[in-house]
Amino acid sequence: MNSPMIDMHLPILSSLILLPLMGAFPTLFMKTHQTIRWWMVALSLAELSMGLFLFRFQTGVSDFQFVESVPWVSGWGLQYLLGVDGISLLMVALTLLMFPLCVLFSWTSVKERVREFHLCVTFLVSALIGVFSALDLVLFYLFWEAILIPAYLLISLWGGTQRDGAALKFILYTLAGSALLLVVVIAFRVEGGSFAIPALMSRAFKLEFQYWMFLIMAFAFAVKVPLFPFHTWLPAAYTEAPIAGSILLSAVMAKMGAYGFLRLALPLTPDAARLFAPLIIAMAVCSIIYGGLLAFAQSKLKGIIAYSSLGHMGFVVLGIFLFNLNGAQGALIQMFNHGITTGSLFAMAGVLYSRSGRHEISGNLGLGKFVPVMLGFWGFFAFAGFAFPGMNNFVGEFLILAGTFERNLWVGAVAVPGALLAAAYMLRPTQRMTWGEPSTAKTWRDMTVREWVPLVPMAFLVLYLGLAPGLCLKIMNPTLKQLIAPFESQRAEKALLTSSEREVSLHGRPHRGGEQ
Amino acid sequence: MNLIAMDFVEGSFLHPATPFVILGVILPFLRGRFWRWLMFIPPAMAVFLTLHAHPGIYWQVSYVGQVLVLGRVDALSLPFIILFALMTPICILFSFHVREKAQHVASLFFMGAAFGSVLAGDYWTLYLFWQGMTVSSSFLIWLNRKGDASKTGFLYMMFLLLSSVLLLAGILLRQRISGTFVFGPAEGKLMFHYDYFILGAFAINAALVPVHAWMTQGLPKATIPGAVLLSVFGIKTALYAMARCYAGLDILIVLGAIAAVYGGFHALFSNNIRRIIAYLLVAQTGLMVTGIGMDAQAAREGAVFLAYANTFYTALLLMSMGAIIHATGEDQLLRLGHLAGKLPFLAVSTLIGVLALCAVPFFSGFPGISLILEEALKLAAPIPGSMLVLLLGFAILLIIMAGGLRLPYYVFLFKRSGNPIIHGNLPRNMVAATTVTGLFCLIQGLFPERLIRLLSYPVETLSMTFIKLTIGVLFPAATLMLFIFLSPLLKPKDHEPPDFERVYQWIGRLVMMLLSKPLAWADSAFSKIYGTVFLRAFNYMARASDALDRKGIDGAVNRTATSVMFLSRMSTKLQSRSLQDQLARMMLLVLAVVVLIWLW
Repeated sequence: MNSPMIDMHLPILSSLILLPLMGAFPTLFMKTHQTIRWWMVALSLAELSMGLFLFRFQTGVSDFQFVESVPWVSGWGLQYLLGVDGISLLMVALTLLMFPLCVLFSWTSVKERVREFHLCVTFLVSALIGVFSALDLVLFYLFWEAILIPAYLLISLWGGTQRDGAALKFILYTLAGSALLLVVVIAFRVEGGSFAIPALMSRAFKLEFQYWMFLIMAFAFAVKVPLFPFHTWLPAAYTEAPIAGSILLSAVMAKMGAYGFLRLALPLTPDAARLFAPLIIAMAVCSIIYGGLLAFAQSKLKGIIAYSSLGHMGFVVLGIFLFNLNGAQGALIQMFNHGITTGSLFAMAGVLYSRSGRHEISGNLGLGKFVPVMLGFWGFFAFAGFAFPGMNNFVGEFLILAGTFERNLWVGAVAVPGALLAAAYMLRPTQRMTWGEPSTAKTWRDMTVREWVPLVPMAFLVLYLGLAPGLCLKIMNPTLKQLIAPFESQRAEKALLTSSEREVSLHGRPHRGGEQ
Repeated sequence: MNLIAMDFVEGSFLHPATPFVILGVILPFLRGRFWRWLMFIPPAMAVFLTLHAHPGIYWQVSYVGQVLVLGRVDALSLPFIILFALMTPICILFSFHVREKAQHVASLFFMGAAFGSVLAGDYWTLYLFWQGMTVSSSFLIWLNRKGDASKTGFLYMMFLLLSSVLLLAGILLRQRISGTFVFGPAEGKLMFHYDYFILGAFAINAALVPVHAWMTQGLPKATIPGAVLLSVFGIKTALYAMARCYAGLDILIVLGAIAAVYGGFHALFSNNIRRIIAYLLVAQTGLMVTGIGMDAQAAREGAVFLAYANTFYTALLLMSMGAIIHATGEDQLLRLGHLAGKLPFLAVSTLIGVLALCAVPFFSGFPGISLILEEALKLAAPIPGSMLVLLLGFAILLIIMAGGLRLPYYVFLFKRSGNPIIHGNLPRNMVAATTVTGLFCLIQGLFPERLIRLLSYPVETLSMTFIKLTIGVLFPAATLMLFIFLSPLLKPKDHEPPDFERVYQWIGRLVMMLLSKPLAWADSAFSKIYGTVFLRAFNYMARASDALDRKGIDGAVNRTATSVMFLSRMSTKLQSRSLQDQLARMMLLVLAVVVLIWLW
């Protein structure tokens, strides 16, 4: 592995993993809830500031950077191996961005066991950074499993009225996937002779082995994304979780599945991925359409955002399994952008709930006249949510659709209405919330400084990434190009087919009339 | 880092959409009352910028691996952006009295997006601004908040989003096959499958029959200034796009002729004063689309000329009707009448508008229509020239009867008991905007050569001949005679005593029965199809998916969870007994397992 050792004086990734955990420790000695909250704000900002070191990431390089390697259990070949590339860097950045949002938007909604709540959040953030930076399969698996505990606790202890069922469903589903993932870890050690992901990426595995491994991984990751029909934990978990839980679940944890596909499934089992791509694409397209329809049928704001995530993540997985640069770029940038947009939308749902005490659209009507700032933020992120041109989600959808049409016309034709659905399900509640009568917002207080300040950077990112996605593309391109290289031969065949098809079309089309 | 590379090619250029977008963004944050005066800055800049624009390619932006061309000024786009620029101060002036910022924000974005669409040099840029127009125009309807504006606005938005989706699919398919995103005519005049997608998108936005109902339903539900904006910028952008990509396409002639006749008929039977104009707009768009479809430069020029004139007189009529709604609170023809004395200014402005609409010589509608008809006569396919002229002539007759005679007659002249009450004076800004638009109409009709200078090449056939003049005068005069004969039938309630004219009336009634009922049925059927396909079916599918998700897929998961909880409760019960009991059970269990293994 040719890994540039950047800034090894400061093990940045370990620091990012440990800082939340260590920083949470003093809260054990704090007496008031307010002190804990302020401390957590400072901690989340410190974590975010430390993340600025990641700007030293060298673009144009496909190798892992900020690599930290420490032998762990030598006899078994285990090592504490961390590093980021163009794929994982964006996911780490997304996690860091969501941390302050979680803390600030739980300010008033979490009133009991505040300390424990923040311990769960910090543990979850650490584990998420761990997942995205782990380069050893066992380490990856440990972080992957570690996430379940705080996520389960967040839902079951601070969730809504049906939190028990939601938490149980979440844990059952994800444990089923995770248990099988352990088989994959062991099998790759046996077959590949190493737990190190970079080392395994350079090996070619037998076809039959790839098939089994891919199927198991696909199940685990499809549950996590989630993809239709493994998605039913999603609405319950997203809607019943506290705001911080919803933000982390939708904005970051949902990306773990897609990240798993990019980090493990495609590089380690490319032949199997190619074979099963139609199945995964079918599931992704179903998720897009089905998620869109379900979002339209929802009467609760969190339900709409939850099901919209099903559709958006369908786009992500579709992009991954197109095996072309447009698709892969679109998928990765959509993962990042969806995190920002959905996280902000859930934050707004929390703000609205804090005023109305209701998640239903009917409980949040006619806001335009009375709380214009609140409605403005909601409208802004809702527009971003349905990929309005010039906003961040548009870039991802644009690239994915371009990649889809490049690969298969019919898949593209089926996926395109997803855009129509997204606009329909986001604008319907927005319109009712703006002008619906009778207004429920007559006595509401508009957004406070604590509420709008964290959303301003998010809004800036929505516009910046929508208008100038170049930085993201520059970061991810080398890694993605390397990732899809094994699939290029197939792409070349497709291109040949396309050109011959075009020739046939040119000779077989009706004339427009007029001059001839 | 070079994230966006803006190349200022061929001299300096400021996109006319820029001031609209900037003000649209900052307007919600402005306090006090001065912000309303700021609204005139973008139109002033747009007029200046467009009148000083030179052909060329401007503002090439590197975006996600594509080069977007934001400013393509050429012989076709220039007249349209000048037209839009001239209309922007009028529209702003007309809406000046509106205090609600949201309406102005939606208007600014809508106008900006219209400029963006016309100046787009590639399909991606077109799509970006096309979407912008869709969303901002939907808000122009929602913001009316009266009656079922919300529901209508949603239907409107769904239709225009369908147009966006078709456009997106067409763009992507086109790129896949032709390898280019250039917004221009199809190569070699060949129609590919993607062309039909793109044409479908343009047809929806141009409100061609049968995909017109969004406009005829939406426009009457929009805010008063919003309706003017929709008529000026929405359909004209689609017409421009058609002229850009599909000029000379045979099918456009057929679609245009159908739209012209269909729109004319429905304008004749409608009772909502703004819906009448909406149907007239459908009919007139049909005439323009016919001109675009003809493979003759003069016909296309005629279409552009008519588009120019139509923009002003339709805006004038909508402003006048909007002012009537503002003054009386009524928009139904049944409840209006005898307003000429009470609102003389609006009577005059409407008169100017309808004279232009009726293509009376020396009024702005005449040159464009005469050019289209002249070229139509030369056509051999897909419809013989004489037949096409007959169809278009019939459509014009309907337009004159519906818009030129019936509408002003029942609004201004017709006396009925319980005439509407005028609530105060009209806002001065509305009067001023209507006056300016009326003047533009008159100038266009009297001095058409001023407009010709803006077109791509000189139109030699525009000269006024005696025959043209005679036809131009006699045709409306004949229609007037026909209207007089048919007027009792066109009244909402006919209480006239029977007379000799009854014979003509019976003939007229028979014609009406034979034509109006089937057409009314067809329109209602279209509306039902829209409602069923796009709303009911959509809602049903959404509910069915929800039920499947909760009862089907989720049900299985819930049962698994219930089973786990049941097992855990059982285990809890088992463990709650005494230690001896538990040990005994464990030993029995171990024994059972041993026996099973031994037997196996």
